[in-house]
Amino acid sequence: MIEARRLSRRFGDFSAVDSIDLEVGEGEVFGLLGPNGAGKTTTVRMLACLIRPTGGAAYVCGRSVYDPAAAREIRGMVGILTETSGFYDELSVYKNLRFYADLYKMDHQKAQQNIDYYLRLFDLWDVRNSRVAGFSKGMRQKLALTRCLVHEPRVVFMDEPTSGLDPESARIVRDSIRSLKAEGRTIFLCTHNLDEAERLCDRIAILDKRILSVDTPQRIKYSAYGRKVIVRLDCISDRIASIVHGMDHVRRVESRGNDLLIDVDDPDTDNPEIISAIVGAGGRIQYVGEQRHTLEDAYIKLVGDRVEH
Amino acid sequence: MTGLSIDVVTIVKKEFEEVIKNKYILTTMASFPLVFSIAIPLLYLLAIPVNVTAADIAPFKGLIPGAEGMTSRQILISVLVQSNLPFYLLMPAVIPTVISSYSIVGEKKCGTLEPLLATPVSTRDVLAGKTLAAVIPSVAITWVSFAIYSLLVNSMTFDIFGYTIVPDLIWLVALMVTAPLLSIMSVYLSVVVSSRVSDIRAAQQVSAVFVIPVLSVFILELFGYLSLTLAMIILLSIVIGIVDLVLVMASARAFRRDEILTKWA
Repeated sequence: MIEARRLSRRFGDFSAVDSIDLEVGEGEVFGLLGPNGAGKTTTVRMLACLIRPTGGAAYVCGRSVYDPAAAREIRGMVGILTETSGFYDELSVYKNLRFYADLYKMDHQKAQQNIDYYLRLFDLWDVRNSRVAGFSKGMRQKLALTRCLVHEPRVVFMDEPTSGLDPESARIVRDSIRSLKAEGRTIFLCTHNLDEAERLCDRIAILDKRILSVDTPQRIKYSAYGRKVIVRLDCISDRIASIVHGMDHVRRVESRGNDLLIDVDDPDTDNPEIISAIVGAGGRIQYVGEQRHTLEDAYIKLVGDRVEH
Repeated sequence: MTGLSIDVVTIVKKEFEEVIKNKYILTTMASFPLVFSIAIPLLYLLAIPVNVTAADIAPFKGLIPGAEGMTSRQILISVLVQSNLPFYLLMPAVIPTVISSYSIVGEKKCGTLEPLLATPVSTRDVLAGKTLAAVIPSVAITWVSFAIYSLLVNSMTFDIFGYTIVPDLIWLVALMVTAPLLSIMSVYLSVVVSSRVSDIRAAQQVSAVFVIPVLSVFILELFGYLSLTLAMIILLSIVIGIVDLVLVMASARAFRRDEILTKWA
């Protein structure tokens, strides 16, 4: 659904996005994470045909972002939730949404139906005839989401979709993203909320002008920290540590109190052998688990490593 | 493109809805007919003495076509009525700067430009919609103001002349041709300026470009140094038309998605 090859954007001498490769499939929720100024907004703007790339190639819904006629078609097929949810403040919620629905050439009845659906979903129905001026940040964000979804886009670009929302509204938005995915829509999510990214995204790219890593949230965590099994014993002897260390699939063993921290590739396969070896060496196992790292840990490690280099 | 696209109509409609809800723009627009069509003509028509001597109108000799058969009072009235013409060229030039500075810089400030440009609408249609949304009310206000002015002037001078003195051909050409061209010039100048500034007030300074020359013409007319002729109005319209073409091209360059989003937003 989205394909980028060596996609780049320069502003004069400044490189905002440097030669990124991406592929996002239909019905996939794809997260783009990165520090401020990493090029997330520029990437979204290029893919949504708001600005032209200065290098590489990109295709959205099978159309090239470079071709002006195709770019208009792409804009009609994608929805974008921008960083700032600007509206015509003097106009009512309903008139704002009608304006955009008209620009997306929506059938009047369908537009009405979708507007009503999202206004009810996002709890904006009661204010549909009110001016947008004076709306809270959360209300504006929900209204911006409605605007982004009302024309039933095949690809939805979302920049911080739950920013400024109360927990209940944020949950509604997350559920909506899941529903959109279930309908086969592709979601391209830019966020700083790593917990949200981990919960929603099938795959994640970490961007800092260049792509640092692209994979599932789980694999990104594993690739940053590896997988570590914790085996707690009532007493750790040198013999047990040495036997475990000598096993083929064990890369590293560290003793910490009564815990053995064992680096392995795949705990599901390796744990039975490790446990059996420890028990065979007379060890009394109290607990076996896996040391967990959050996506945030992995993100900070990846982005931090990049800064250090 | 043949005719107006649906997108242009949608944008114009939305702009109108915003304009009628903006008290500042409405007050500015309403003040023009009040001042130039009612207050000023009332002031000078009521102030003209009954006995005007040939010496009083000496500076205006030769400035009014067909003045040979007129009385001194009629000549003075004709000069004063004619001297108001520059104001009806000021209106279509100033009002659009008020509207377009809000509609363009306003979009920039309110963060609505990006969502607008994210739709399939072409940048050309956005520009055309915004231009028309500023030109149509400006020209309409000018025409309505002139209608009020004509009504007032003719009703107050019919007894003196025995016929209606406005509009004549000069007024008609000025209102039907020069005024819309000036309005377009003003809007496109606003677009070019708006692409460089982020403050609505700065964009409104464009109106100053028009105020000084128009006031100069008014003063020169009032003191008998100049009288706008049909040839002058036609020549002025041609010059403005050429400037319009240049500005349309310049604004099309300034009003590009990349430029707008990376420099304006």
